[in-house]
Amino acid sequence: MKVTFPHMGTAYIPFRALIEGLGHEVIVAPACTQRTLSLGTRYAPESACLPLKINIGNYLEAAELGAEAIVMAGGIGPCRFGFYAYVQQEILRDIGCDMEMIILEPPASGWRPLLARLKYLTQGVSAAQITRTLRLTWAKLVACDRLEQLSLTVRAYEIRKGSTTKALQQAYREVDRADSVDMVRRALEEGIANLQSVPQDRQRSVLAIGVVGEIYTILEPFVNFRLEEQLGEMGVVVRRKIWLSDWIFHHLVLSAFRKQREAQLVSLARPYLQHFVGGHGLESVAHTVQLARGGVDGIVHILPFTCMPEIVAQSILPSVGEDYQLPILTVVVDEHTGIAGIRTRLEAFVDLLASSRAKAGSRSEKGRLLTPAASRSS
Amino acid sequence: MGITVGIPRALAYHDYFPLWKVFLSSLGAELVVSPPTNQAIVNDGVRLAVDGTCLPVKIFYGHVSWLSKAGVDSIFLPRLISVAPKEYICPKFMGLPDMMAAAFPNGLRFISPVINLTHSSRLFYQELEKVGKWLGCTAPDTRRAWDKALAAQESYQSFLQGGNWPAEYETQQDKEAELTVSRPLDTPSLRIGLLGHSYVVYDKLASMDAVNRLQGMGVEVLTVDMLPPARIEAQAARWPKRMFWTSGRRILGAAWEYTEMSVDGIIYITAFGCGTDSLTAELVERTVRRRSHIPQLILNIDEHTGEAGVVTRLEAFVDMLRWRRGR
Repeated sequence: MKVTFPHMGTAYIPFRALIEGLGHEVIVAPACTQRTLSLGTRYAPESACLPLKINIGNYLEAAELGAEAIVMAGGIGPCRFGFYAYVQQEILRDIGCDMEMIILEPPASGWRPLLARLKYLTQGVSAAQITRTLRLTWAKLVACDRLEQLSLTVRAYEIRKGSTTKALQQAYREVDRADSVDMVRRALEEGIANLQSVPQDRQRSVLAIGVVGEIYTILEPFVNFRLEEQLGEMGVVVRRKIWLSDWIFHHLVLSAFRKQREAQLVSLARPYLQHFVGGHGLESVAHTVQLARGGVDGIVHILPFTCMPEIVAQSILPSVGEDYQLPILTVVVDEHTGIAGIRTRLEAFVDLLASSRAKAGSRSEKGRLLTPAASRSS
Repeated sequence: MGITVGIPRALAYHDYFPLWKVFLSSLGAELVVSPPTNQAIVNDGVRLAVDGTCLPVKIFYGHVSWLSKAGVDSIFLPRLISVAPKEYICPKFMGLPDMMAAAFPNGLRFISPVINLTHSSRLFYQELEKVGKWLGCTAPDTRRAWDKALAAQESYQSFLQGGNWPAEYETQQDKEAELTVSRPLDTPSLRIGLLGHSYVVYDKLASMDAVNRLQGMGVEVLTVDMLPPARIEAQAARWPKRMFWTSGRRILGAAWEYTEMSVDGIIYITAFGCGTDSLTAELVERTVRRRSHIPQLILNIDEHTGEAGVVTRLEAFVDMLRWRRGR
């Protein structure tokens, strides 16, 4: 069975390892482009949120390459994502695309359907092979996140524009190619070394911006117009708390840890938001507080147009910004968003932060507040 | 003289006003309800809410603002998480008290018991008792007030199931009625099933007065609330994936029921920016189209929607239904 799945940043690297390890041929959809989006908007409901549309584009482009089945997550609400797979299935059915949709519903909606799907995906695969596959998948997931995290700091200091991104892409390719945990480890070490040896001007005064928001728009560079790359190239260190490996670890693997971490997020958000609201709405508020306390110059909050949990966060974030004297830029993306508009707003925001930094610096004589010592991951 | 409590006539109000009113007034509160949505309220809401917010929540901001201007400093705004097992309302309802606190930082106090029926009934009553205590009532008094309120709510729901409208219930209850519904004089020749959130369908502004306009054209209009709950539940259970939004689940159930009742047409009124409707309406449209030949109209309304456009579309739709019938 030729299997595909929707794109979300570098998630295709671990997902490919996972599904190949279970004995299926994987068709990774072509990276998201304008064409992906056009296909999605042609068939998806107009007022659906952006990720649903791009998923549809991914499926159709993968079908052109011969994909026969889609693996997709389900959900139990309250965010719309829980209904994505079902609505997408209906859309594909109506346009005569006969791809099989394998929906993995979370255990909270009952173990039986999930186990049945998993059994279906893993039929004929030995337990040892499944264990090996899970370990490899996890190693790749963590490696991709660590590489990306490092790049968020290095890029702000790079001397030649684009050199960090180039080293990062090379490292991703090596991780993708690796077919054992050892090879992943080597690829990661090499990738880290290569990123660190990107020529940098560590004396440069840089700003730090925290990125918060909805997970898909944070992780998928096509929909956020390579936001983090753009910021990095403007000399900004990007900090964020949303990582795919984190998310999978806490949601799928260890619910005990989840409780503990959730309690922390809940208490951080509590003065502003007293209940979880689905998706990453509560996280957006909690992360903003966390990042503010850790010392960033500003926050970029990114969300798909009409995203329900993030609208709650967006309505509340100005209060957080006021309390911490922290400027917040909201970036709402949909199929009509253009890169020029985003770029102009990011530049203006960075200029604003730089000038308020300069003012604060001349007042307190502190000068560079965030020279290398403050960039933790380097 | 009791404490004055404001109730915004928006969102869950349309579903639960008898419950809330009886509960609070039995506890001795003086109630101030904002007036039916008017243009000034909409304008205020649009100004206060962030751009991407759906129209109903913008309208809610407007109602709170009205109450605040009227000098009310305590607002009853329950945090509705779940009113049925394994279901939610909508993420925005869950964060609504916090959104309002952020928009009205000074002086307004929000009374927000957490309504989450997935919690134990003990926790639920604790939430109610907090409200009672704040109004100076004991726990047993609060229980009695709640039982009375539940009875009122039940009578409201059976009133609606009898084919009536919320406004008529309010007229019965007190003089300051919100809207008079013009019943068609002749026997209606067409029957249209209406779908949509109560706070859109029953709000004259959010729905562009679609109900009255249709009835004025001699159409019998059915709402989700007029269908027997057992039928809705049975029909909703037929969908392959369990719908986790309460209102969405009722809409899916009603859509299937309308198809079996062979109504002449189905109109789905949705507000621009509504997240749950964006997928619910899509499922309804595709399924009804596959299962029947019933014509469907989706009216998507926002604060810029012109009356003339809505009237034209409704008239054209009704004309088409008449033409189909006469064929």
